[in-house]
Amino acid sequence: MSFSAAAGRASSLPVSEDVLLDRAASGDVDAFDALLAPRLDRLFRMAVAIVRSESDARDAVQDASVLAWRELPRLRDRARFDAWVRQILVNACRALLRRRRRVSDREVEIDMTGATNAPQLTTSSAVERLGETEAIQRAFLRLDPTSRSLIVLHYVEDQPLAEIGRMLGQPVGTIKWRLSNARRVLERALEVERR
Amino acid sequence: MNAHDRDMLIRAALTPRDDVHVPQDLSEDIYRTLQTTAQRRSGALWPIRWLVPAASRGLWLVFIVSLLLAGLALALATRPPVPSLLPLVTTFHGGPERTGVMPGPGPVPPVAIGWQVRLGGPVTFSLMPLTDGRVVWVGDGSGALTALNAETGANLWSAPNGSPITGSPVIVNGLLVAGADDGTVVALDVATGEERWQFSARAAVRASLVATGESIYAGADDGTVFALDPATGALQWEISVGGPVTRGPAIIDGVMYVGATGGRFSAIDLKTHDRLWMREFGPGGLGTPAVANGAVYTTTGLQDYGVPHELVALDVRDGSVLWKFSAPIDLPLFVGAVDEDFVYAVSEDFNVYALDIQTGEQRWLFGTQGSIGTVATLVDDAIYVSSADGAVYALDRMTGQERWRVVVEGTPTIPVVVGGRVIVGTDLGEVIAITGEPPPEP
Repeated sequence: MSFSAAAGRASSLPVSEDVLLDRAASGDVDAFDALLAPRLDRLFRMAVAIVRSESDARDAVQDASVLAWRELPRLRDRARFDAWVRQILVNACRALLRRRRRVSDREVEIDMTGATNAPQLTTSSAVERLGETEAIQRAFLRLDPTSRSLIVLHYVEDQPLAEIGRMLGQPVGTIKWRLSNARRVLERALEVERR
Repeated sequence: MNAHDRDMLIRAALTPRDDVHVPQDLSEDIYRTLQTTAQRRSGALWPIRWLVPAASRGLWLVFIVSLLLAGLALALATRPPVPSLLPLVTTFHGGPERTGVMPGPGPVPPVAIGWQVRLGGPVTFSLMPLTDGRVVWVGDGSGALTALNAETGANLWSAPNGSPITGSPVIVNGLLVAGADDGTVVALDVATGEERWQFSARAAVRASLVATGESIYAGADDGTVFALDPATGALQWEISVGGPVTRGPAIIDGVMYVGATGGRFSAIDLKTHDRLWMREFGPGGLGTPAVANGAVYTTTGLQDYGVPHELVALDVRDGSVLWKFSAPIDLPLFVGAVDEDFVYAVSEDFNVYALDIQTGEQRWLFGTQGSIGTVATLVDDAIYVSSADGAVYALDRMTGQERWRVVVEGTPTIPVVVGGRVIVGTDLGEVIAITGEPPPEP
């Protein structure tokens, strides 16, 4: 059974997430399937935001899903399942970016994943802002994997600093500092892009 | 453009297009993979569920327990005398002076990853592994303290602590002592992981600990530094240092040097508990200090971008500024290591700077491909640096020439260099040993 099929089953026979978590932690692949299905699209989009490539995001989501399945029996606080899966995905994205960096410098290949999301602007400023949007996307590619993750979790995913801290295993003060630093490095990379 | 508009522009630029969705076939691929992927179980007896019919599991358990007890009795009867524990790397950044000097030797090229093991939580840059050459002790973000065999990486024991550990533990008198975010300071037996005592501070203990034979010193978020009795965990004394202490103190010749968030840097006499001198460096945090050659070195402006990021050398006698260094780009700096020739500064601008110990002038620079929020380590004539580009670098200490690099998964912690190995933790929750050719016989 695929994840989409499992999602269909879950909607016709509602089973609480607690029960699904218990079953999945006991080795029931279909229960894990039903848990993951409604989350998969959001996870994929988050991965795309971090790694900036749909094929890499696919690899990251696959790696994270398999790791979450493997480690689920050891998850003590089941209420944190969502945050825990996101945490695993962020780590998978960071690991993948580091592997990619070693293989080649392909990060200069930019896609326009965010271009159509830019705010609607008056014609006079639209061109300027579209140029700035592209510059931000290119500058983002210059950031290290952790800074990328922090910026996406904060600016795109709207995650509170405390939650980001829990996901990355760092205190809120450290996250604030690292986020400011990531933002600063982004601005510096933007300066380089504008030259 | 105001700050809000700027944030909105970043969000718009980085949010995937509305038509970006998970591919239909990905869920099927994952499902197929999971069907052939075993889950990890916590209990050592889990395989019994699969191998033994339920009805006879009790008998099997009795049989296995009997075998284990017999084996334990045999081992106790025949084991060789346990050599005395001689911890070599007991403290974050080497020893109480925090000069980054490690016992070594480093690995002889060609180098490669010798072993790597996964822990239950991230080992961030402030969590340096400790080792006596035979055992590696490490804390992680899940709150666990773990002991590993330094030769193989095999898990010797692991003790959950309940609250995340963000500052490196310290080893003193056969105890592994760690502070935690909930204000607990816990002492475990280094050999078994059994808890010996616990102390509850009024606020989070996030800075790395430091110890002498008589006392364990910790800093807390409530702006105090306190001393505990290593034998009992009882509070010996405490002193206010004017701001949260998020980076551990350094100690030499009976004097503690400690920085507090808010910019106050103090020298405290450990016998009288008097403040010998204090200097202010404006708002922002101060880096972990290192003390050597009659000077104490720290960095300013951390966590507050209104203050310049500088490395300052202060006279240990009165705190007067001997020299200052700032990098061309104003990003956070950290003291990496100190020897008789250089202070090695590492920066979020991706570079390592070797500074003249007398004047602070730059002698060489080495660029990595990532931020260096972790600090460096010094062994003999080499300096070892961990970078957020995922690499551990070995550099010639006099010239900055790269000797080798090994890329690991995740961001590595400060390298610990002992017995022909470099040991690092990573923020992906792994501990990794980099090894080389066997060291030559002495």
